[in-house]
Amino acid sequence: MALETLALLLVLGAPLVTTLALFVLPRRLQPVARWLAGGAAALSLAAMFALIPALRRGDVPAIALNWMPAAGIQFDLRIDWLTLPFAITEGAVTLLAIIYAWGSEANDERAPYFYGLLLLFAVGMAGTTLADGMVLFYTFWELMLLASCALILVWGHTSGSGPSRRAVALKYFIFTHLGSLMVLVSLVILYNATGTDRFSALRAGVTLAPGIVTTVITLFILGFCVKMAIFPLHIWLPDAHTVAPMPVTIMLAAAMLSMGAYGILRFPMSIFTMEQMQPFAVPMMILGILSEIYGALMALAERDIKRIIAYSSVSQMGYILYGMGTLTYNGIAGATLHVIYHAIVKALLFMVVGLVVYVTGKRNIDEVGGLARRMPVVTACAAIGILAIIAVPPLCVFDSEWMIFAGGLETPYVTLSVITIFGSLLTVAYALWFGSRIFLGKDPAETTDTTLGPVSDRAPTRAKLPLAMVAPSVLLAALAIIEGVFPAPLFDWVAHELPMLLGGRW
Amino acid sequence: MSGVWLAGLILIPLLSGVALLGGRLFTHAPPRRRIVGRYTALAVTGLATVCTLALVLNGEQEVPFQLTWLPNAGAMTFSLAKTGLHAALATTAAAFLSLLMCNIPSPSPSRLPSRESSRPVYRLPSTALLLLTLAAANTAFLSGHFLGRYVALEIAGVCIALVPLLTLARDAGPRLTKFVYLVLRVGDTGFLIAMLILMNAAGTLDIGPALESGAALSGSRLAWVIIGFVLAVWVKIGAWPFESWQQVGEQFDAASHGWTYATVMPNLGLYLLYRITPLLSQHPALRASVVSLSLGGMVLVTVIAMLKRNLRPALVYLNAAQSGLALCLAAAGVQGLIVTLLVVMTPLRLLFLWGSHVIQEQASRWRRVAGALTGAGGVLLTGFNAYLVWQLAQTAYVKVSLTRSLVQAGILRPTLPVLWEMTRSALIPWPVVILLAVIVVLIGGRYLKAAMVALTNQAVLPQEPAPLPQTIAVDRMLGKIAAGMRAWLEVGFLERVITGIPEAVLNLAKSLHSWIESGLLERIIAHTPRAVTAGAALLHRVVEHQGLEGTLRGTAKGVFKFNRWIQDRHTGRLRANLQWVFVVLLLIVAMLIWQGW
Repeated sequence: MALETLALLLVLGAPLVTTLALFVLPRRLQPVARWLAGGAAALSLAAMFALIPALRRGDVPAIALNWMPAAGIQFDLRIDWLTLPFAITEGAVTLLAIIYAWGSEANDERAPYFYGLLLLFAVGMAGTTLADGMVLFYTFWELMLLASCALILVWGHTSGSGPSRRAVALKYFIFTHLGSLMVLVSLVILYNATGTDRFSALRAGVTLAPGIVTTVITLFILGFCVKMAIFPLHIWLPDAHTVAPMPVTIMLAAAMLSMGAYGILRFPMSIFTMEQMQPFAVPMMILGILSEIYGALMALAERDIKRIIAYSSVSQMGYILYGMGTLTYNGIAGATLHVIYHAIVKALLFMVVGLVVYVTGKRNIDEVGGLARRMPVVTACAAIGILAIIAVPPLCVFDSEWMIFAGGLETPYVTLSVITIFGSLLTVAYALWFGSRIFLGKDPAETTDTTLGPVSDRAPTRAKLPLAMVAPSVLLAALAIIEGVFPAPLFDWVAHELPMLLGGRW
Repeated sequence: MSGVWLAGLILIPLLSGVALLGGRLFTHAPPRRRIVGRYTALAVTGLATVCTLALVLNGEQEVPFQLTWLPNAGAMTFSLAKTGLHAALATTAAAFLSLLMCNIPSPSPSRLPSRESSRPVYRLPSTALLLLTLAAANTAFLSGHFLGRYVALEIAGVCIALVPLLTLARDAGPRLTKFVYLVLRVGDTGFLIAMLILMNAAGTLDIGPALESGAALSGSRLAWVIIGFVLAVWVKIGAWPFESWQQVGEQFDAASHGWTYATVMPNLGLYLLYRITPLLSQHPALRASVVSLSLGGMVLVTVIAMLKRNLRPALVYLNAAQSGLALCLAAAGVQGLIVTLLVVMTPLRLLFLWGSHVIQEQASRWRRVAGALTGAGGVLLTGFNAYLVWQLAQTAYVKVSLTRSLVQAGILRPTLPVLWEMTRSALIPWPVVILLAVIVVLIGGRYLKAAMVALTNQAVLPQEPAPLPQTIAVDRMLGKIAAGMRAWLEVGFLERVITGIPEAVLNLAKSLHSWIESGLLERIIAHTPRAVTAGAALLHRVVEHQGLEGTLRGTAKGVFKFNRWIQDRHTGRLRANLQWVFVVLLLIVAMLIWQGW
């Protein structure tokens, strides 16, 4: 077996086998569950990196197994340059989320199931990106939903006044499944048109009536926009992100949302030509702008710190959709880069929020403050995350936003681009407000708790934080800087995907 | 060799700033270290000034190094053009002088009345940020690439915004940092838009070719480029109503106030204005708008400046008024004088700030010197501004030179037609030129008044409330006139009118003060974030809870209700079930009959 084939199998096999092992793990071995999960995630990520040399050589590692021969359906896995950035982002986020869970989640008798489901969630995402057939794609797509829904249902945290986790899980399932159904309809139309479910047939070109093309593209975009939580299809996101346990929230926000962007690039933008996609450019740009501005406004209005970052995802996904909607080289490359950078920054910010909740036990922004003295390292990480999300150079998000905005101004719709760029000021507003309220200023407890004596006499006590929660945050903060200063290698990956899009325009 | 000087100019302040800031963050700086920090910063800015001077003396040379960062953005280069070097030299030397100002010993606190020891305390983090800002500003001045300049401007903006956070109390610091950064970011957003449109047109971000490509742009794109650049300049130079971010600087030590808040960003803005001046002439409508807006702003800030008793806060308004003048110059196409304005204003600002400090301190032995120098500065500023206005009047846009036409026209005969012609043909009409002249005299005169206070050893006037200083003079003058008339006319109606004028003027000034200063655009800018937040909260409530979510919840409830109704019909009592069975059987029979059974 070739090394590439083994690596491709390991990407899915390692977490899948570990999941099965975790589900049947004897009780006495329960403490090793988290190590097993971490090891599997690390192995899967390492396998993805091992595939890069083959891609650089011009090979396309793939596996083809018979699955349903009567229907011409195969179990095909394949990795190409379009898959790579998304797969690696997903793999890295999974690994960091699992490490974070070591510190944030109880290592009780349910832990093997928790880690097992986390890995299953990761398998769903990795499989979605690696699948080279429509049926397989949709299977992994739904696996992703089922695993994450189960995690919210069983391990979700609800506050007294908020909706129950059952209600949230149901809402999450119904909404995202609605999006999945739209995708399914398009996939079935394509299957009927080509007579096979293999992506290679789609890449070769599909002949459809113009009306059908419009329907297929519309359904794809709407379906994937549900997953991306684009306004007004975002309703599931704030509740799901808030109720889910923090490692799941990290995976939802940093990895799963990007699956929607991958879907748009993989299907409508890979299958159809520039001329066929052109009528959808302005609607996509407008939807992106609406989402960007609306998400930022909602983040300004929220008081729950987890929901603030959740709405920030709605806003950031707006940038990505806008970038893709420009149908320009810079716009699409910027959008793909933004997926990766958003994953880094969003995972970092959610980790920081998790640490704040861990220390204070509070999620209301009005009840926390002045944490910089108690959590200096976390504050530094948060500062980097905030500066990154507001696109301060040379941090990572600046690079991708730069390309998205440049792409926007290459289109004839200058006014839309100007609105997008000015809309980014709202991101500055909510991010600075979020950071300054939590870490700077006065701790509300200082002014109310008179039993502690005069405020000036109270020395700030450094909060003790689990290393497993702090280390991934520090790593992500460092990545936000490194990726910002040295964007070329990542851009090189992304640049390879562009010839695969819009009928090989670039 | 120029590469070495350039590296020294940027890297020495950068590394020293990082070292000072790092030292401050990770250790509690004792007083001795603070003193070391002060003198280190002084030495660093001195060295940077020497490096800049060396570059100026070397003349324009190729810079041997460049940096490639973002894909598709090209290599970032440096440009050692004369104007950029002069701007950098003025700014760097001003940093040195402002730090020197901080190091001039003030009278010991025990000798001072308590009210007068109000000089803001020197703080080490603000000095570290000053050095970082200096490195960023010099990079911006000498960058030959738009991306390099944008990054440098952003970093300078962050450093400036961080000063309140690291030096003020925990409640005010974060709030002001947020405010300053947000306002500066508005300008940077404009800059980004303009730069990206030019990149798209020119295919490069090299500043020279990119600006040249502006001429070939279509109307709307050119308009966006100009709007973007002018917005960037407007915010950076602190023209009305964007002077509000500079007001924050009043709370800091002389170096942070005089340089970090009052010098560096305005200088960067003026230099940008100098570069984009040729673009302005491409769009007459926008050009006229810039003139109108800048003039309106100048009038307002001059009135506010006159109302300020203390020179320290007046400095911001002086900047704002001068900025308005600079925008007028740019709109009229007088490009060269913008850099001259930068070079002249940089030391004058510091002089006025230093003067305002020292004049307030009665026990200072420097008081008379400061008074004399401030007065001289006031005279110089008046003269320089008058020269600028005269130059403005000479531009092609005031078709006939003001003085020449007046002489030619005589006093009575054809004056009106000629003046009408001038007004009609001129971009800047003559009444505006006269108004400008009046304003510049008022601005300069503001400092003459301060000098008089110092030189005549008058007691320092109370700070608040701040009545109109000119009103006091008018009051005295009118009082004397009234006394003379009393002897002539006895007490009567005329006396009441005359003595009432000062009071009316004062009231008018107070109303104007409260209306302009705490109202209008400044207030709008200050309250915009709150308004946006409140609007967002309302939108959140209406859309998230009552709109989208409410509709969906209602739909879901409706579907569930319908399901329950159907379910009741199916799974109710036995008789109801049997009825359904009967109905279904009937339907089956009907279908079979229809199919031809």
